[in-house]
Amino acid sequence: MRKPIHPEAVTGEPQAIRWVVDTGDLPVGEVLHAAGTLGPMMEYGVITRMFVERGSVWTWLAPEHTWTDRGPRIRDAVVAGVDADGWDVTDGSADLLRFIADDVVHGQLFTFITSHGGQISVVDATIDAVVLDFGGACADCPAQGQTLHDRVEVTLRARYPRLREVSKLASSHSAAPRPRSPLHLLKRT
Amino acid sequence: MSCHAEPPIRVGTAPPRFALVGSPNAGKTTLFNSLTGLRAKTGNYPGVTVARYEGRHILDDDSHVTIEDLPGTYSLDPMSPDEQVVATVLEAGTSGDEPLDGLIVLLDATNLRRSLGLLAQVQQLPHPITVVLTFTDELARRGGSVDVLALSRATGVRFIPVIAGDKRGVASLSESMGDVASWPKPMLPPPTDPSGVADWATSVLDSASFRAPGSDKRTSRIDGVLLHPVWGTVIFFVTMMAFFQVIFSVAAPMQDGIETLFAWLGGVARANIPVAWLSSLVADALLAGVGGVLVFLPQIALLFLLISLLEGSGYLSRAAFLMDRVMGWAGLEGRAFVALLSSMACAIPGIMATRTLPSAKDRIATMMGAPLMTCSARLPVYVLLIGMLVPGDLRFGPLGAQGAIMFGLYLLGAISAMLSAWFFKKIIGRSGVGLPFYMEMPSYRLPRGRTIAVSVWDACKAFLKKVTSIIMLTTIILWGLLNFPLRSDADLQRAGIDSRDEVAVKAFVIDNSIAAGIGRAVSPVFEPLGFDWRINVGVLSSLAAREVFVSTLGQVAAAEDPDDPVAALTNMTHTDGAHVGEKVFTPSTVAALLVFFVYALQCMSTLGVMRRETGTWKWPVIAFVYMGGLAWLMAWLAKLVVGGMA
Amino acid sequence: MTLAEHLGQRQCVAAGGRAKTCSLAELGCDCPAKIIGFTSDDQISRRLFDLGFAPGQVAALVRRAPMRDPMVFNVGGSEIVLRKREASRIVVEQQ
Repeated sequence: MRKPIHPEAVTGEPQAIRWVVDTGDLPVGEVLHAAGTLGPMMEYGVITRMFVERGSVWTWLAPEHTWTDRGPRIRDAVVAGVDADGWDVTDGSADLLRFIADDVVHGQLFTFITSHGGQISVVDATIDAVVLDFGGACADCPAQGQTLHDRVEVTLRARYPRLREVSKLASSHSAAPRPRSPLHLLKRT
Repeated sequence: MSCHAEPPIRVGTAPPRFALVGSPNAGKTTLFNSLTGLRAKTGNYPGVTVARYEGRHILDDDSHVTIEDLPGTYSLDPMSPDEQVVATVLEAGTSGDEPLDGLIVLLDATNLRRSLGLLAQVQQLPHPITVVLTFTDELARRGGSVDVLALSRATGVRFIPVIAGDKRGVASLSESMGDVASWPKPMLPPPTDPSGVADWATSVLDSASFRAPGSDKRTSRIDGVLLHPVWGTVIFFVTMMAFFQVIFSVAAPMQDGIETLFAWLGGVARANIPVAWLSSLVADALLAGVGGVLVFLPQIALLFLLISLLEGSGYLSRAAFLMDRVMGWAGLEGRAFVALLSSMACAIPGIMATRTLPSAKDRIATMMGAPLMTCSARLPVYVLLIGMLVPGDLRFGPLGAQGAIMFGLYLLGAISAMLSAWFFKKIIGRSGVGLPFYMEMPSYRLPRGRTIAVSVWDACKAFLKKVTSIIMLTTIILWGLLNFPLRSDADLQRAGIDSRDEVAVKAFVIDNSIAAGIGRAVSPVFEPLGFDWRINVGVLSSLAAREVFVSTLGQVAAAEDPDDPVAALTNMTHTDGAHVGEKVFTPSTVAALLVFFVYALQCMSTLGVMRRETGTWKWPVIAFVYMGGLAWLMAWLAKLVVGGMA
Repeated sequence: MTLAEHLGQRQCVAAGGRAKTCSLAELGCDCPAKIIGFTSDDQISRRLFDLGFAPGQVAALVRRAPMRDPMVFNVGGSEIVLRKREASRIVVEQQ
């Protein structure tokens, strides 16, 4: 069986891969039990954690394994698994929403945000809400802020349908400095 | 598998080394030139007829890096020697015993899906990779688009868009070459099996919002004319004729200028150097030698200029497309046409032009045939001999006989070239699978001035470096053979020659020179062809360059009749051997001589260039021997046929 | 095993019998056709795959040379010249 699929790195999580693949109508949340060969992989501890979002499957590999060793098998298992039955997925997950928000803000929409003079970071996430710190120019400009806010919310909801609200942090500067995404090295000059 | 291997550890203080990998037409040469400018050197990969380009690039902090432009390849699954070189270099992780610190992969944005296939293959290697994405401007022009940053995220390597002529992309690349450790790597390499890589590419392109470009309207419209079955062919022949004419109308005057300059310098040397043999050495050997080298430069420069223009604009592949069927009859492919056509001016740039052929077998086969194309150096010989053979007013129906014979000689050369190439293609190598013919037709693009300039400069430099020594050596040796043993005034007196009569002295020296000795010694070989020892000396002297035959014979004839050398030649009789007293230049002998010149490889410069392009003396020697043998045989046949007709 | 050897083991799908298929060389018109596979699984087919003639991609004939051979095809955003011999290895399904 074949499906378009490719792996992407997760910032700050060297043992994680986000598999970009069509997840069909699989529920979005943390995976308790996976279908197909992914199931035993979880049971035997090869895969230590798994999430499903709209359009990706997140997998964490146990520290004693490497992706070069295990990657191809896991890729095939994901492709087979997403179309199979037998998934047991929680209804949403705060951790997952956190990861997705990080990816949106530091990866997917990074160029969009910086081109609007913004500098967003994720402060907190619950099972259905996200708190963002809108630093930079957009903090003062209501129009820019609204555009960014809306765009981020739409993007997040497409990936995590249960999202109820994206709220702004009250003060314009967050307390602790957030680690900058190494993806900034990828930016175009 | 190699993906588990580690890249070689660097020891020592050699500058970092990068290799450029990419398909032909992806813009590699342009990028290489931008990075290295004229600081590139060329050579050959060991043991193969594949050119190697290596250059130095200077970073912002003034440190150097070495950049190697690997041959263009569509895949690391090699089919030709060029691709085998790429596969070998990348597999070894080293080139010339230097480890490769990083790979720069060039991908063409207008055919991104296919290009990603190559990237997937290269990503199997352990080296750090950065991708240069070219022709993003053309992608946009054709209605396509891609999110470059998303491409980087999806593939795990950095994509740097570089547009030819825009310095920013190159600056970005340069900056990143200073910090290879920071180059992102993918979590795991993509699959390489056909369905796996197709799925990977689809997923990557999808997440990068890739919109495929439409067809290139401008190119389609131009091709509608240039590749029209009727008009296209007409335009093609006109272009080729023009290409050819330019050589004669532009290069020829420059060449005459150089010859005149050196003749003048020779005169100055003769007038001012008191010692006779020394002045002759300087004038006739050294200056003539240098002049003999430089005289080729206008042709080489001009031909390479034109070939670069054709190639850079994209028209060369159209020409190859139109001529492929015809070239196929000789077992060659369309691109060989340009190399053979160039050889009609001079085989040297023609042989150098075989670099455009991807198959090494094709290159060698074409090189073996190219010298048979009638080059411009043969023209003075043909003119002289035809003039002796055929009266100017003789006509074959509406055509002048002289012109018709000239055309016939050209045709003989061309057909022989094709047959020879066919023959060598058949016997070279043991590989069973012939290289299938395929060729990409790039969009019409405006060739970059810099690329053309570098190409011309590179060709001229290469010619000067390698061939100069050969020509100089040959000229000096031949000068020695023709002028030694030296004759003192006493010798001249004894022979009854007036030492103030320069012409007579010259003739006497030649008549009794080592070359004449050789000429007499080899006369049994050439006797069946009707050549006497003086013709042999002429042929020997033409080993430096064909047109020298005319001047050597002229010197001999002038000795006999200074006022009318042609009449002298016509009336020249055999002085010894079986035909004493008979005329030398009988119709059958002239025919034999003409045909001899069609086939013999008499140009040392050609041998030198062959040596340079193939990296070995084997092929030049084979060419010299086979063409020499063929020349003798065909000349003998010509003598029989014409002798029978008379 | 070297990378080249590994890549040499790729199997290019040999097309099974299907209705409405012909070879790329037989496409009389400039209508787009979807590539199904190759007539044989060997190095030449792998090369055609690497050139962009991959199963699932759409190819179309652009023009022929004056003597009917070779031909120019449009595939994956670029134009590739193939002789009849090579084009007849590619099996396509007309749309």
